[in-house]
Amino acid sequence: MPYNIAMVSDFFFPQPGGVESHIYQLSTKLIDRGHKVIIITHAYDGRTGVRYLTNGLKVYHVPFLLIYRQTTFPTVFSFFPIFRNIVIREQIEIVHGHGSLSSLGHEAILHARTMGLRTVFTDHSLFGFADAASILTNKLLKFILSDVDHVICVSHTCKENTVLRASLDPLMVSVIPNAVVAENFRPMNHPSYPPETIGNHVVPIPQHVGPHDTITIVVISRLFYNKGTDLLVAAIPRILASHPNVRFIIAGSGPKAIDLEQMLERNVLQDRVEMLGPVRHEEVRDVMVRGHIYLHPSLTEAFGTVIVEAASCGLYVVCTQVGGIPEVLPAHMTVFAKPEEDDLVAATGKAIAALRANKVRTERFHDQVKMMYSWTDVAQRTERVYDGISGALSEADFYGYDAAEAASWSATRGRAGVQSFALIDRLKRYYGCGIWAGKLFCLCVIIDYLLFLLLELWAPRDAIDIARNWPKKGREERPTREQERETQTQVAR
Amino acid sequence: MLNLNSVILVTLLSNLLIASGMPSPTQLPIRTTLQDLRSASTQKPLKPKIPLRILPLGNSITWGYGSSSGNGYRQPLLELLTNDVTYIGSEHSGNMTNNDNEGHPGAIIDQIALYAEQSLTLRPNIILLMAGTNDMVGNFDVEEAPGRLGVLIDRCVAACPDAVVLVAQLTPFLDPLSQMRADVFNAAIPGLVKQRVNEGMKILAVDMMQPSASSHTKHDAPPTVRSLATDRSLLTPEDAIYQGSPPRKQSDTVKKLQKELRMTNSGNSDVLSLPGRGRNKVRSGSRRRKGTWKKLLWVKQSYNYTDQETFLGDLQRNPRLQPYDFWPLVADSTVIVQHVCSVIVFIVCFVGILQKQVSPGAVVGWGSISTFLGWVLWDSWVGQEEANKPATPRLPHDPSMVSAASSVSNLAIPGPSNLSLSARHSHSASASSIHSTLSTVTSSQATTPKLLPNFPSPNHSPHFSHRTSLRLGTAKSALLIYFTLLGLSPILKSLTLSTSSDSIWAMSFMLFAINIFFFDYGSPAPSSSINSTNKNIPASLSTNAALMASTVLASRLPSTGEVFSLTLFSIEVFGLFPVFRRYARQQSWRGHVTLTTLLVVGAGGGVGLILGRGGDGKGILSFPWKSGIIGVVIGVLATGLAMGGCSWWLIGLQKYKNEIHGPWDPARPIIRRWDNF
Repeated sequence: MPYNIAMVSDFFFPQPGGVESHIYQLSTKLIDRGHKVIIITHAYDGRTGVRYLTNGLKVYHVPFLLIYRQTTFPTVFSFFPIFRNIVIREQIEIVHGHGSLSSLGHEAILHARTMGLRTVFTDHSLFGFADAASILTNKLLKFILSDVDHVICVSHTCKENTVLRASLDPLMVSVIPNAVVAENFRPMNHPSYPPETIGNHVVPIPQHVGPHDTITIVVISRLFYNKGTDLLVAAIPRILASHPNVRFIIAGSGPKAIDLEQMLERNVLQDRVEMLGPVRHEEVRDVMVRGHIYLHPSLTEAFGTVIVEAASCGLYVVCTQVGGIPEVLPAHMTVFAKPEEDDLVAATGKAIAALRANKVRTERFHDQVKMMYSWTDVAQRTERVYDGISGALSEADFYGYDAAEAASWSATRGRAGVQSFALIDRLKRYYGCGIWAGKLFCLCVIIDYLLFLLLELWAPRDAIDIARNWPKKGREERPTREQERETQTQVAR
Repeated sequence: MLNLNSVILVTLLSNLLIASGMPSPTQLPIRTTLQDLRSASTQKPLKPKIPLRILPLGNSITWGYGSSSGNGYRQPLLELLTNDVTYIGSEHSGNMTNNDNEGHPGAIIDQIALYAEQSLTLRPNIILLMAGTNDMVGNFDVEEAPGRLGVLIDRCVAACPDAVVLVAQLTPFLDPLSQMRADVFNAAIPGLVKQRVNEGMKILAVDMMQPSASSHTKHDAPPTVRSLATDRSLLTPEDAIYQGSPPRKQSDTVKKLQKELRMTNSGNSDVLSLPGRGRNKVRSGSRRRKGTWKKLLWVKQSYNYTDQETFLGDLQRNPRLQPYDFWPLVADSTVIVQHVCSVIVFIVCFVGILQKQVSPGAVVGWGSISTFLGWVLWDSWVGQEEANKPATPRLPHDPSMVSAASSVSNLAIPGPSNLSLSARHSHSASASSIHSTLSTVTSSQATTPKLLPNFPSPNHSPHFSHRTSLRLGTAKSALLIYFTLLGLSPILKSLTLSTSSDSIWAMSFMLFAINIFFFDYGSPAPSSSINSTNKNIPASLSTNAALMASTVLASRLPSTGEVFSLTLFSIEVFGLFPVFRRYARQQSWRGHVTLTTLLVVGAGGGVGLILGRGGDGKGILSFPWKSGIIGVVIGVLATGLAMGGCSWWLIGLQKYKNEIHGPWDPARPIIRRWDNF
C-alpha cells in the first residue's frame, strides 16, 4: 500500500551533511518502492519555492527565519498555515521529521498530529543530560515525542539516549541505521558499476603490503573538539616517530585546524603529513582510496557513516570506542581504541602491524559492507514502520510480542502502534511531561487545535488545489488513488 | 502487581484494625493465605471511625515511580479504605492531593532509615514499610540486609510505639539473580517479624508473592488499579534508571552465572519464573530470540526489539556520588566562616578608622604583630616539616608564602600592578601545588626546571642555608612592601577624589562579594593539584578584588597615615592571612578551630561595637562594651545556625541529585601534554 509521505527537516541540500543525505537517499528509495515522497525544508540562499530533484522528488523550501547553523526559529505555530496547505495539496498521510535540532521537524509533527496524520521521527544525534542547552533540547524533544507514532534511531546507543531523553517506551523506537551508496565508495582497483554481467564478476586481488612499503593513514573529519582533533594532534607525532614508513593525509577544516598546523610545524612533519583542507563529499572517495588505514578519533558519534564509507573503500578502520561506533562494523574491519592518546597510538600501531603482516583482507571489505548497509534496505525497514503505525501490520508482527500483551499496553492508546487522535487522549499524553511543562504543553496543543479549526474555516479544504503527481515510469507504475480519481475527472470533462 | 499489593495491604489493614481491639497482638496472622484475604475482604471489618495516619515508607515503588498517575499503590489503597486517611511523609509525589509519602527512589535500607527520621516524628499510626529492593538489585550487603531491615523496624517502633508497622516482602524481580537474593531476604522477614512480635511489638509481615492471586484479583480490582497494574508491565526508562541505581560493576563470573540462569530458566520456566506475571511471558518470548540478537547494526536482525539484558546496560547513575555527613560538612564550612569573618573584621577596622573610633596605628600595629607571630609560627612549622622529611629534594620550599609576599611587593602602581600581582600569584600557587605532587611522587630534581620554567629562584644562594635565605627573602620583601606603600599612600589618598562615596561603597561591596565567592576554599590536596592551573585563576581574582576594594576604601580616608595603615592591613588580611590559615588547618585542627572561634568572636564583637556606637560617637547603649558583647553573642549564634542550617540543607538537597551517564556522553580525551613542550 503506497503512502504519501512528507519528510520535514531544517537540514537539506544544498547544505552538505549526514542528515541531509540520509533524507535524500531514503526519499529516493521510497519513491522507487512506489511511495510518493515530498520534502519540506526552509529556504536556503538561492533555493526558494518548489524544486524537483532527480526521480521526481519534490522539495518545498519554506521561507523562515534562521537562528543558528541553519536551524529555524522555533515559533511553534507560525509554520502551521503553510504546512497545512502543503499537506492538503500533496494529500500527505505520514509526516516524517528528522533531527533533534530541527525545529521545523518538531513543529511539523505537532501540527500533523493535530491534523490527524501519522507521524514518525528520526533521531540522528546523541545528547548529554548535563548542560543547559541539552536540557532545553531534551524538554522540547519530550514535548514533541509525547505524541508521536513511532521513532527511528540510527543506532542502539542512539535509541537508549532518545528513550531516556524523551521518556519513551522502548518498544516504539526502532533502530534503522544509516547506509552508504556502495558504488560511490568502491576501492581503488574495483571495477566501476554496474558489474552485473554474470560470469564477469571480478574476484578482488589481495593487496600485499610489504614490510617497508609506505602505509598511508587517512583522516577525514571536520576539525572540531568533539571530533577528537586534540587526540589526533597528540597522537600523530608519536605514531610517526615509532613507524618510519607511515604517512598521513588529513582532510577537513574547522577551528582546530590551526592546532594541527602548529603541531606539524613544531615537530617538522610537513613532508609526512598532507593537509588537504575541506573536501567535497563527492571527493571523499578519491581521498580515501589513497590510504590503507582510516583513523577516526571522534569523541561522540551516533552512527559514524564515515567509517562505513572508509570500510567500503577497503580501508582498515581505527576508531575510538564511543557512542554507537562499536555497533557499526564487524571486528575484523576495525581496531578499537579508548579515547586516550596512548591507546590510540597503540591501536594504530596494531593496525599497521596487522596490515604489514597481511592479516587483514581489506579487498573483501567493499563487498561485505555492500551486503550490510544499503539504502534499499533502510527504505524497506522504514516502510515497515509506516505499515506498523498505519495499522497495515498487526501489532504482533510489528512489535514482535504476543497480541494479548498488547491489550495492556497503555491507558492512552487505543491499540498498540495506532495512537488515538482524540484531543483528550493527546492532552493526556502531554500532561505527563512535568508539573509545569505538562500544563504548558497542553496549552500549546489546545492553541494548535484552535488554530487548526480557524484555518479550516478561513481556508477551507475544498479551496486548496490538489497537486498532480510526478508521472511514474516503467514497471513501478502503480496508480495511486488520487491519480485514478484525477484521470476519472479528466475523462468526465 | 500493584493491585495485588494494595489488596493485600487493605485486607491486612482491616485484619489489623480488628486485631487492634484484641488484647494480645501475638495473635495477628503473620502470613495470610489468599483464602484469608478474600474472606477478610468480604467481611468489611473496617472501623470507619478511626482516622488513619499512614506513613508509606520505602523506595521508588512507594514513591510511585512508573505509575501513570505517580501515586503508585497509594491511590488504590486510599480508594479501598473507607476510613479517614492521611498520608504523611516528606516526599510529595503523584497527582492526588493526599500525596505525601516517604518513598525515595533508589534508596537502600540504610538510606530509608535515615529518611524515616524525618517523618517518624509526624506520629503515624500505620507505617507501610517496604525496603530492600535496591539492595537486592545492587547486590549491596545482601547477607546483612535482613538485619539492617530489623534495625529500621526497631527504629520505627521506638519512634512510634503506638503505630503498627507493616513490613512488606519484596515484589518479584525481573532479574533472576536479584530474585534469588530477594528470595533469601523475603524468607528472613517472617522470622524477623515473629521475633519482634514475641517481644510485644505490633508488626506484621506482608507477603507480596502470593501465587495465582493476581489472576483472581485482576477482575475484582477497580479500573484505576488495573491501569496502574498494567502500567508496570512496560519497561519504562525509569525502570532502567532506578533498578540499576548503584553503579553496575558485575564481574564476568556473575554475568556468566546470570546467563546460565537465564538458560535454565527458559528450559524449565517453572523453577524460577513466577506464575501470573505478564512480564515473564514477554521475557520468555525475548529469550527465545536471545541466541541471535546482538547489539550490532551490521547484523541483519529485528530492528524493533529491545533487549532486556543489554538495553541501557552501560547506564550509570550518580557514578561519583559521595554522600555527605553532617559533622564533617560543618567542619568543612569553617573555612568559609573564617574568610567571611576576616572580611568583616577588615570592614569593621575601616569603619572604625573612618569614624575615628580606632587609631590607624593601633590597627596596623596589632595587625603587623599578629602577622609577625603568624610568620614565626609558620616558620617553625616549616622547620618541623623539613626535619621530619629530610629525604625530600631541595626544591624551593613553600613558594606560595614567599612569592605571595614578593608579588605583593610589586604593588608599585595601583592600577596595573594588580595584573602583575595576579600573574605572579597564580603562577606561584600553581607552582606550589605542582611541587606538592612532586614531593609526594618524589620525582627527580631534573624535571623541576622544566615544570617551573619561570620560577624566580633568588633563594638558592649557596652561602646561606635554605631556611636562612628564605627568611632573608621574606624580610626583604616585607621591607619592600612597607616602603613602597609608604611612598604610594599620598597617591592612593587622592585616587578617587572625584568619585562620590556612594559609588565607592557599592563598588567595594561588589568587590568584596567577588572576593568571598571566588576565594579558593579548597584544601591543597595532592590529588586536586593536577588541575591547579585552572583552579588558581579565580583564587587570584579573589585576592585582586579584595586588594582593589581596600585600595578604593582607603582612598576615602582623610590622611596619608590612615591610608597607609589600611592598605598595609589589607595586604596582611587578604594576602598573607589566607596562606597562614591554610597552613594552620593542615597543621593542627585545634588551632584551626580556635582561630575560627576567635575570628567569629572578633567579627561579631566588632560589628556590635560599630553599630552600637552609631555614627556620632555617642552610643545607643550607655555602656559601649555591652553592645560588643551582644554582637558577639548574636554573631556566634548566627554563625552556628548558618553552618548547621546550610549543612543540613545541602544534605537534604542531595536526594535531588540525578546524574545520568552513558555511552552517549562525549568522551573525555586523555592526552599527555608535556611531550609537546
